Amino acid sequence: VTDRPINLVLDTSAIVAYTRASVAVGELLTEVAAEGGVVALPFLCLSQAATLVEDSGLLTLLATHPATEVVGDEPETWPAHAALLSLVGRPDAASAMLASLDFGANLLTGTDRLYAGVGSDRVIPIEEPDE
Amino acid sequence: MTVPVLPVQRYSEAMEQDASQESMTELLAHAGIVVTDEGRARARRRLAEANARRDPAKLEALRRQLGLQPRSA
Repeated sequence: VTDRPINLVLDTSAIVAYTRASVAVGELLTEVAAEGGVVALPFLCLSQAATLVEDSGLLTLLATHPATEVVGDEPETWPAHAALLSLVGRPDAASAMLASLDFGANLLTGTDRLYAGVGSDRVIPIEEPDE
Repeated sequence: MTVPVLPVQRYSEAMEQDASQESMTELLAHAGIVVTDEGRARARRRLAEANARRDPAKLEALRRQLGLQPRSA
């Protein structure tokens, strides 16, 4: 894992939103990078996003950028992942919240309802700016 | 023993950050995203609001509930 602070986690919906030209996601990526921070991309979210987007080349560019890091779940955290899974209902979302808790980072999402039952104070919903 | 941070290291970190920033603009351009100064200010505000909303005690309680180790300071 990087020495630089992980300041933001993108879940599947946020990763997909980036491939669909989300200005809100771009603004947050830019700001975190400008401050010398890193954006975490949970392995399961990246994998799930790859099944939902047409252009996987954009995912490769995102995943290999110096301001991002692909992060996986630690083997010993499987009970925590299971507990989160029972609350959020999806393995990728459970990994995103686990990464958020592990790194003490905010979680950017377009599906904030998933996290209503756990860790909602660290969730940043994607809100596109007005035209 | 405290290891001093040499100016050359700070310069190197600054250069790395500049390069990262430049390539972030390129990355986003590939996805068709253009970020303005106003947009960056909006993002800064949103991050600050999110950080202010976070409750460290709640985080530690949740981590304990999930069986995770306490975060070191």
